[in-house]
Amino acid sequence: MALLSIRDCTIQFGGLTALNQFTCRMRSGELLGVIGPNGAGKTTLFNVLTGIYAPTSGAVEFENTSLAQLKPHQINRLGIARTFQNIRLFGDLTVEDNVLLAMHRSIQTNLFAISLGSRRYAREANLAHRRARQLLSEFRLDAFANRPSKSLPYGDQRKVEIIRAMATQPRLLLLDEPAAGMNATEKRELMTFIRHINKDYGLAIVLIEHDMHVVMNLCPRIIVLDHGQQIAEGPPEAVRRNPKVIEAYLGVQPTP
Amino acid sequence: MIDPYFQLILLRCGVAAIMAVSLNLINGFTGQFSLGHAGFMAIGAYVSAAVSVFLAPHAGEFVTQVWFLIALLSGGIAAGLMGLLVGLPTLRLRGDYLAIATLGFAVIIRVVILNLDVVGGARGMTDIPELSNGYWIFGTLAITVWIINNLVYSIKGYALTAISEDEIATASIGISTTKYKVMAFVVGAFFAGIGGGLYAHLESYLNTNSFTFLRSFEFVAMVVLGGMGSITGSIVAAFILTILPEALRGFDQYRMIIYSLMLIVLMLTRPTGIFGRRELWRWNRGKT
Amino acid sequence: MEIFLQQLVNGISWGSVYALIAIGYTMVYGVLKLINFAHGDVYMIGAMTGYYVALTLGVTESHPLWHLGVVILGAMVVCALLGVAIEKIAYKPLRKAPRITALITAIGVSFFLEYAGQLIFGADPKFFPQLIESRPLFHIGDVAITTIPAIIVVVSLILMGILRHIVMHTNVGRAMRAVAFSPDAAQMVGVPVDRIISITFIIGSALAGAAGVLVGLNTPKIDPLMGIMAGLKAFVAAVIGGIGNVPGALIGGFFIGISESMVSGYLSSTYRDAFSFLLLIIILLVRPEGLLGKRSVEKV
Ligand SMILES: Nc1ncnc2c1ncn2[C@@H]1O[C@H](COP(=O)(O)OP(=O)(O)OP(=O)(O)O)[C@@H](O)[C@H]1O
Ligand SMILES: [Mg+2]
Repeated sequence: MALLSIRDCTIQFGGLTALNQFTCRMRSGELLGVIGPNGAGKTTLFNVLTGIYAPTSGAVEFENTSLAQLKPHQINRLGIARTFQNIRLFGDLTVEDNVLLAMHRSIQTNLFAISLGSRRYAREANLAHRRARQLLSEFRLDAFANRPSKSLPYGDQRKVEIIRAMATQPRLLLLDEPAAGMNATEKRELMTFIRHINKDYGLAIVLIEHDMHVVMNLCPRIIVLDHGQQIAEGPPEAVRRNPKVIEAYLGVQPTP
Repeated sequence: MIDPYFQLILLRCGVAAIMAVSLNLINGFTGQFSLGHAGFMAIGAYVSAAVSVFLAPHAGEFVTQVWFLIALLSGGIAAGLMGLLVGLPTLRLRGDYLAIATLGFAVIIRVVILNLDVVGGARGMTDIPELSNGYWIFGTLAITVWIINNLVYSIKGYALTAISEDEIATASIGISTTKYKVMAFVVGAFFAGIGGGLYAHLESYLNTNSFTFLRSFEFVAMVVLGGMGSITGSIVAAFILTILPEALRGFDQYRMIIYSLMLIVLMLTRPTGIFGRRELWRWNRGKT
Repeated sequence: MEIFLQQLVNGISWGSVYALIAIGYTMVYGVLKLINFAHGDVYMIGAMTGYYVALTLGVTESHPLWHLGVVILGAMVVCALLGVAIEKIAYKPLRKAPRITALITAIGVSFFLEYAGQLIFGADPKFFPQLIESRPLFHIGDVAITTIPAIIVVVSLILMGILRHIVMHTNVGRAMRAVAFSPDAAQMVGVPVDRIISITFIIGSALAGAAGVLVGLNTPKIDPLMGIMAGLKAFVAAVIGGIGNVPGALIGGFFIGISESMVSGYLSSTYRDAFSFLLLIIILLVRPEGLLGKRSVEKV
């Protein structure tokens, strides 16, 4: 059974076709890379998968459930979580509160009881705090737990955003250029981190990345988009040598 | 005893604080800019006054107090229901449209009351029993603060702050932004209704002129001055902005000018207000 | 039928006033994505300026139209200056700030003008001098079309014609449309964005100033708070037409003016104000982009 299946997805903005007849299937636990020049439609693909944009035509199914008509929060509840190209943490909330909020579904007490000071909520909150700390410490971010997330260095903010997405307990994680703006050490750390959540949590991941080194090393399978069109698909080696890919990237400097 | 005039001012401060804290839940914490808070206050004021005047039996002290509670709750619930009615359709709108839509609703509410002869229409409503005293007003303020504090600083309640920062990101972690926005709106309207009820039974006289756009603007000024997202700030600002005009004699002419200049200068120099998003009782949280 | 025609005439003359104000809202919204709450008060200042200019000139029998022209021009100039001043002092520093911050500032500016106006002009209404003698021009059925509504409509149409020419056929207009489309992109291709924003305020405010004088002709009672309701309704007109869209503001203005007059004529004038807002709310729910606006998807 495919975890995710996208069939003939097309999305247009006015005259611009940002995604054209895109088709793709994904197994659970897979780590899939998506690359392509600027404006190729990569982020648009994520936006379609998470219900932010409605495709003009085509179908998306996650674990055999159609995503058409579903709102973004419903899609997340089905098991798809994402990060954003331009980090979208809640800057005024602390790092821990960002993660806690993502775990809101583990709090069973309703808002009415919470606002009247429910004991049960206090217990649940305690538990949630512990889990959030654990998750943060696993990625060596617990030292920052009580700082407003906007005060963190850029690379750490990206990590917190990934942890926040993971805290919703998804089965598919969409990462939009997680390495952007990171230095070499941070990138190396990030790669270990992504491999870890893919292997040890068994989480399927779609990785959009401009850094070829990162994608080629992490992803056994890579899809190349250009002008909304899939122009190549396959293992890193094949993709690298594909003449269409080379042409699409002509003039774009691939990082060694 | 305290001088009765000063006492009255203090009680008005208490009512203003309830109004400001409840508006802060909507405008500050949740970031949904409402300009119609006086409309919900009006509903609470008129409904509770009507309950007191037309329904409450003339019996002993205890019964009177119980009926006052019923009157207040009726006002709050009526305002809350109106909040639901207003909120469900309008909360889909973007920030500035929402501001105008809520302002519009407040105008509509006022015009409807103005045409209701049972509650005095344009003449206003008189002889409302003067039941609002320090216990009622400050007791209610304490409960309001306690409930809103429990709400906004709970794990689920962080959703409100999250919505005020970034709705798309909030939805991306599985939170129905609509549900939370409507909830904040209804709870805010409910407490505004209660505040209106206390106001009616404090002044003992109601007229729709007390619930114009100007009144909504005063509450907005309090929320902004205190800090959008600070309960402490709203209370402090409600006291400041209620006492200030009384303290300076002949100030009335300048009051609105000073309010408006204050808002402009605040926005240009310190848009976070006095307290930002801090509370006296959680001062060190989220500090770097 | 007579009521209908009478209210129609009334509605058209109010409609052209709303349209003139609405254009300012819509243009500023176009370039800044800001509801310039103070715009209604600029219109009030226009009426006040017109009042003082007219008083200074005194009444002449010989050239009433020239007279009117001078009064309108005076109001337009003063409002234009006021408009840029507001933009430079209150809005420019907040270009990059959250929209709510700018909105609160705009509300602040609006209240400031209203209450500073009360302090300076006095809170009591003033009576606009009769610049034009009201007499019937021609009849439609039993209803006489008099000079004043006719002049209001003609002056409005002339001003809108000039505006249309500026927006569609001059470099300034092209630059304005570029800024409305994307300030960053406009900056990049060398459009002097700051100057274009100022010019937008100048044009919008000048039109509001003219509207103030035209209202003075029609309903001579003017006061410092007159801009609140008129401004809000003009804003409603702009939203109904599709905010950011100049022809939309025109349509919206006439729509509000006429339907409001009908409500006063057939129901009761107490419902007039509530009615416009009801219309607004319905429009926002059914077609939030307005009659002529385009729906846009937020880029993520
Ligand atoms: N909401 C929208 N409205 C109009 N056009 C859009 C919208 N969202 C995306 N586009 C356009 O769709 C195309 C694809 O954009 P997308 O963001 O998916 O590219 P990308 O592959 O993620 O590029 P990058 O590497 O720069 O992030 C671009 O031309 C973009 O301008
Ligand atoms: Mg992208």
